[in-house]
Amino acid sequence: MADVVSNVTDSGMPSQRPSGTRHPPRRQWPWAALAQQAAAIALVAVAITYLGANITRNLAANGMTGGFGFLWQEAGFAMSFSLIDMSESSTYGRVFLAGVLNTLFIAGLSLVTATILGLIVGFARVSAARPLSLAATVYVEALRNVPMLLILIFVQTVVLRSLPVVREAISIGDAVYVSNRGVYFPWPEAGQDLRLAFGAASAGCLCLAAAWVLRPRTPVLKRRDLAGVFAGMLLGVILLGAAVAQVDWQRPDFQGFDFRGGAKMMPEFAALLLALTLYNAAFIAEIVRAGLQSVDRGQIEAARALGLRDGFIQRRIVLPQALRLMVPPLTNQYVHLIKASSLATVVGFPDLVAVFLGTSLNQTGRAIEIVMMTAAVYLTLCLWLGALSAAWNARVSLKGR
Amino acid sequence: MRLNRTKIALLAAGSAFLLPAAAVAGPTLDAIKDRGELNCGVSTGTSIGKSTLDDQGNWTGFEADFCRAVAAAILGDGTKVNFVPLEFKNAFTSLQSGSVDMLARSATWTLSRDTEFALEWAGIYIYDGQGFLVSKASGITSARELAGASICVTSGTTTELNLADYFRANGMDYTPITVSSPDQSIANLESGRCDAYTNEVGGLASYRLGLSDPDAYTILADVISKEPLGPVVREDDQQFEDVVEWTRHALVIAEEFGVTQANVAEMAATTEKPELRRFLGAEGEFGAKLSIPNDWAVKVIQTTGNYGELWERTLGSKSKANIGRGVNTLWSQGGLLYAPPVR
Repeated sequence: MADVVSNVTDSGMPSQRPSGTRHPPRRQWPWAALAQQAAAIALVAVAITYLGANITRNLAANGMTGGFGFLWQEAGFAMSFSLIDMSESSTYGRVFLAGVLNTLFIAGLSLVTATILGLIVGFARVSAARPLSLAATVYVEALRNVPMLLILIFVQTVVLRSLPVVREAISIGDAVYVSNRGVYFPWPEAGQDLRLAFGAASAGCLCLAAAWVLRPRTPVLKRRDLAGVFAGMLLGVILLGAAVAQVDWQRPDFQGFDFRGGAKMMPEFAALLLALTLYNAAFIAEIVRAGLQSVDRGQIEAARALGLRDGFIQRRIVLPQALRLMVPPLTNQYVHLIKASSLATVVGFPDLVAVFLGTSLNQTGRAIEIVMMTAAVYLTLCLWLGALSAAWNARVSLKGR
Repeated sequence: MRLNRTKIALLAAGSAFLLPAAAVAGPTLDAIKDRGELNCGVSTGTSIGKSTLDDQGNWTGFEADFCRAVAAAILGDGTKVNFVPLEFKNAFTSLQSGSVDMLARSATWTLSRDTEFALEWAGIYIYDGQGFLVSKASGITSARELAGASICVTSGTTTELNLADYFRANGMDYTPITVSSPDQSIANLESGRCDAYTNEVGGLASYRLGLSDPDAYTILADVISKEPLGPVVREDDQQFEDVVEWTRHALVIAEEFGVTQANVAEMAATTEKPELRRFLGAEGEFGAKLSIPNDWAVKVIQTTGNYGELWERTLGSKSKANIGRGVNTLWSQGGLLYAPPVR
């Protein structure tokens, strides 16, 4: 309704539009607005002070002490997975740090995998090939209409627990082992991770550089360009191969109860990664589809009439316009994903909620401090994501005249 | 007028924080009497023998019956209990915030919890220790053989800390598989996700029954910690703590004097022994000293029986768990159960 009205005034009666520069509206005394805002701020400040005082009073009445001193106390429990060195003698502060990093790790990784899968499914949904678009539709409808917790429990209990026990692990070329205790794979000997990472990074850079130098500047790809790209990629592969050969690999080897050596992906981590990816990809696919379909078909037809290839049309005409529409709802979905990663506590992956809000809270009894710190982490993460999205939006939004 | 509205708005905003404050400020004992019901925090209903929720919605088990005993002492009726199932990680916070009056939930008494949590342990009703449940097929016979093992444990418990202590003290490594409920640990043990499940030995014996083939699993003989389990109350009501503590003592005294569920009414009427007359309310005002009826002990024993009867019915030979009493026998028989005199 509002749209219609403004359209009418836009085209029909421009003189009636309130024009900010020429006739500033002076219906209200400006001090009234200021006073209202001051009153609102004062009210919020009073409410916060009152609640703070109430908490302090109630804690004192219960004989409970507050404060963050516990962060320097020894925690005394172990974590099954952490990105930094942890031991039973680590402090609660370090447990917090390890929890934050684990949360960032699982959320960051599933954000990437969910986006990739979502893009694929989203493109498949608008594909002209009927079986492909039908499969994508089934995927989206089946997954986004089921609670994520259910997917998580299904993945953990049905898929992962049904894998063989560790003594009967499935061996892939005597290097990779799959069992219900995790996936074991070779990893560089201690201290050689860096060498491998350096090799991979330099190979990647070379590939990118080759692709950039030889990037097609015209809508029509020439065979010479293609050959150049392949040459660049081949060079990258050779470099990566050289880096891999430089590294001494540590293979997983079964000893006693478990494989020793190599690296291991915990089933709890795998379950969470899978569930977060599958569930969020369904929503991302819908966002991608909406974005793609928002681009006027006439533009695509016009581009075809000009003789442009389909891939080029998608990349240079459809996607840039679609992205502008996709980013705000995508941010929303990413915020959901970050918060949903706290379901880790259900499967037993040691994320921030499991080790800090769970174990640490129960061991120290510092409920208010720990809940506040945990909430602050999620709040910070999601606000930063929102700010990034707003910045991107400002950059790509259509600039008015 | 305007100021009044502001005040009302402020009060409404603060009420979320005010309400629990009101609940914890008043003496718990009075609140229970006014309510006519005891809010008792128990396990989530799968701890066989301690607090189990059966398929008809009834709570059974040692700890559930302990709640009934406390209700019988205060209100004269063991059915006046509102059982509140709590996961361990929420149990202490629920008690602190006033949503339950007490916990009977396998909570181990430690110095930190006693001091920092503003909670009190009203005595010890089960003397337990931490052990390991393993599959017989694994061939493990001692806790010392668990180096490098994956071990299932419940998060936020003393067992999680004892486990770390034990492996550190013995210079062994391990992977903790930490989840929030024992059911998940049992499922993990059964699927081979972990090599052992650690908990109090009493708890292990009952959780073993939850396995699809309990006979394929065994509890190792090693006990790696002391786990004194008892009812927990807030520090704000000394009188209520006394009532809970003396309920536990009543169970022990009754066993000592051979008072049973069957003969308690008759004994209260006919006994000539002065100490028994004081205990059963035939003489003196001992209930009144606790602010509860003088026949409190009679009601307790009528509800649950004495300690021995309670144990045999819920955890011992007459139950599925079939756990031996171990050190949970009377001091006069070489055990640890001892109660101060009613005088």
